[in-house]
Amino acid sequence: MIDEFEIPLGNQRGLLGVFLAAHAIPDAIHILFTGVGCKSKAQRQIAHHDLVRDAGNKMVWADIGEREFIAGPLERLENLTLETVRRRGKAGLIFISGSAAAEFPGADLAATLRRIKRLAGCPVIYLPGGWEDDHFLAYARAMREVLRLVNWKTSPKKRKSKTVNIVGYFFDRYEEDRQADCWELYSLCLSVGYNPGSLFFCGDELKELQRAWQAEVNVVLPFYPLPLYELEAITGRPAVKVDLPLGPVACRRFEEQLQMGISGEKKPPLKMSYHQLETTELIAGARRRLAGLRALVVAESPVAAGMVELLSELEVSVPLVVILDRSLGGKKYFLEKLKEYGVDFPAEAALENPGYSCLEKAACQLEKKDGRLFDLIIAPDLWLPEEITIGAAWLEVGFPSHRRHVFHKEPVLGWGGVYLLVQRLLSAAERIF
Amino acid sequence: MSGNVEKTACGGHKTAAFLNSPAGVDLSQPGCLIEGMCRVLSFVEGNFAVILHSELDCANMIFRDGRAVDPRRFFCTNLSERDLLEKGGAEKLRRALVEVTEYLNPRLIFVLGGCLASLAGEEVGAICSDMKLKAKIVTLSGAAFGKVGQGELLDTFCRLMIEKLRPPKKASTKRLVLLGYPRDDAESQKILKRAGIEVFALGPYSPLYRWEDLEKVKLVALSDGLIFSRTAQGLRQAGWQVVEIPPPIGLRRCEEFYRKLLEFSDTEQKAAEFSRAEKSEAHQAQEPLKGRRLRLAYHLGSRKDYQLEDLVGGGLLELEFFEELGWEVELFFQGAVEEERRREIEKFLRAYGKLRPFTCLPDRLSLARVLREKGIFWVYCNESLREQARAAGAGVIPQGTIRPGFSGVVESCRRLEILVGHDR
Repeated sequence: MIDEFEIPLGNQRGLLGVFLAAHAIPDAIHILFTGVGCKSKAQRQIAHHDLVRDAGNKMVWADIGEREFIAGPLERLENLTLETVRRRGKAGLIFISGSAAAEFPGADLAATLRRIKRLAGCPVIYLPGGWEDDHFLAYARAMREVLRLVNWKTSPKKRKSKTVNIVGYFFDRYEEDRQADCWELYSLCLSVGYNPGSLFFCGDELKELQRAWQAEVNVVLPFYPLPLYELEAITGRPAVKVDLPLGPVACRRFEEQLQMGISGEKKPPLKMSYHQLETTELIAGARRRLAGLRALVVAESPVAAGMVELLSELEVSVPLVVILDRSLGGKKYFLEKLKEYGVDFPAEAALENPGYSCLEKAACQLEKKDGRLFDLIIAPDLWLPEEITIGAAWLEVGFPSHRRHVFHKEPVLGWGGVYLLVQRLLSAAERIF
Repeated sequence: MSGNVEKTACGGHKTAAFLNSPAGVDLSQPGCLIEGMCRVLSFVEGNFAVILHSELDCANMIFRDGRAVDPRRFFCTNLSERDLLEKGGAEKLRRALVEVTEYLNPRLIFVLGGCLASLAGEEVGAICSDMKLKAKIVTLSGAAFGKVGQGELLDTFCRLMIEKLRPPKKASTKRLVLLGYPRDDAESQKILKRAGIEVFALGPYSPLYRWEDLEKVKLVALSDGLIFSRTAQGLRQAGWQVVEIPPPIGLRRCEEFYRKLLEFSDTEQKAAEFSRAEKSEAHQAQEPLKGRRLRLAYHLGSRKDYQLEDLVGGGLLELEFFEELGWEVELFFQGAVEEERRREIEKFLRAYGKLRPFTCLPDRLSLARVLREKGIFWVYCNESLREQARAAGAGVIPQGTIRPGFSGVVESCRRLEILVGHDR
């Protein structure tokens, strides 16, 4: 069958995940113990995605070609890494990545990595290229290794209100949409009386992130799919799982999950905030224009679940969803969450990381059944067949975002995100941008 | 394509072959075979399919965003550790070829072997050799961790495209192909039409079916015989008349370009007769910039997009443009600073007739320091170096500012006036 050889729509692999983690920490560098093409493979993905901070300086290829590979690549890796650190004056953190091909012959890196760590004078994190990991899992693994660099043995000061770290924000660029998301997450913590601590990741240097010991609790977003017990063992602090605050109901739920998870009991709901009141009215107004429209959602499972919930509030129907991940829970997570949120969604309308033939088949069936396809497409900048996109307005959300760039605070998450998303949906529906 | 390409193998070893080519060196950032071919084929129209015989990660070399032509044409054998350790990937590749042929019915299938396949000793050429399919198969295998120069890759691709094509026995000298020239918004077509000459533009990013146009012409003008050495050799061997004329960048080059093209096509009239208005406008556009006497760092070595504009003429084409303005230009090369590299650079500059003193930068971060040390406040470089230039207080003239043709001179001068309009 052709689908065995098709490339799934969400095909980013581990190398990119580590690179994005390095990109999210300004004083980190990323050394590639790989073939020459791998540098471009990862770097090119964000060259046009992040117009604020250039990624070219981040990644250094250890220049291992055929000759070096045969002669023994480890010495080359060591020399180049140390030379890079020397030229830059300092490095806060070094990520070293392998690729499946580089790891295949089974070179023993342990001694080399120890020497690099000693001579470079900064932490070194080696993350294998991996055969199966996608970029979300690799990003989370990089995050876990950075969390290990915090001195969790130091006890946080007792304060009147607790300080919470947020773990698992997918910070992939320095444009104002991601920066604004960070502020929205802080703001949601504050709204229920908790002080925001460190945010993994948010564009902070390693030193800043290492202040995470000051928090008493780690709040975990769905982009950190690794086991909570492991995180608790690393940090010695309780971990509280929360959903993505995407949409007004989700923001409210985030606050509740925070309160329940931290205090252990459900506090009586806080007085309706100005934001809640205003977004309720906003949703009602937007519904008048958007109800009855049809949207295709292409996103990773937590974003897809949040987006479908928001769209259902707006009475926009979502006849097809393309889930771009497996590592964050994929289709299973998506359906479970929607069930939990009380949104009816047929399992067959969600495709988990399909190839193009599967997507086209589903779209074709849908068109036969309903006589039309989509008015709106909510997706990252991912090539889609013209038969699917024709006549639809496209809201670029997620990674990669090559066409939409944000230089003014425009969040997707939190209350601010609700205003912006609803406004973008309305503009798209009217084709006024 | 008219089924003119058959099983061909090339790959990492070609780097060594390139080093023996007349140019001597390829100073562009090297890439891997899959990277380069995916870069080119993502933007090429045509009825073809591409199969990567590699791990799935390599498929991220394919452009699958809104810029790409149609990523549905790309497939991957998705080699896993188990495949390689237990049974090898040959069977998977054969199956992929059959499935892809049935699914897309392409006229041509490119099979690209990756590092992993090479490390495991899989010969894609041999695997595909006994396949009987409707589609023609082109196999390209990058030896494990092979580095391929960007120019070399574009040349290899063009050479593949011309294989088995033949020039017509009889053809008008008033019809010619411009091969490997940066796009000039059809100015050359317009100007040469006045002289009764019909022009087709061809290059690595042309739709595959356009290569068949070569069979209608006898004369081929080539932008750079050093970069396209294999293609030039192939064309000559097959019987085309090939002339090398550098792209029309800058006023002097524009005049030379049209003069040589008219000579090549046996046109007795003078080029000036057909381009008087354009030339005069371009000349006027240059005047305000000629008095500026700027010092400019011309940065090479951070180009990795397989763009003709960056590779043809060794990336030195715009150098003359700035020199025509009377600016003082210093060459900066990014890359190793060792003596061996310096000798390579000298060889490269000599090959392009531009031998002069130059500065080597070990990496992109050194740019700011060297600009400060040399007191240079303007740099012609890739957009991605803006941060480093800013750190030195220098202004950036981004690559791509200088456009070809007479209208390019006008447009480029206007852009430069805006950019260097205020002194630093």
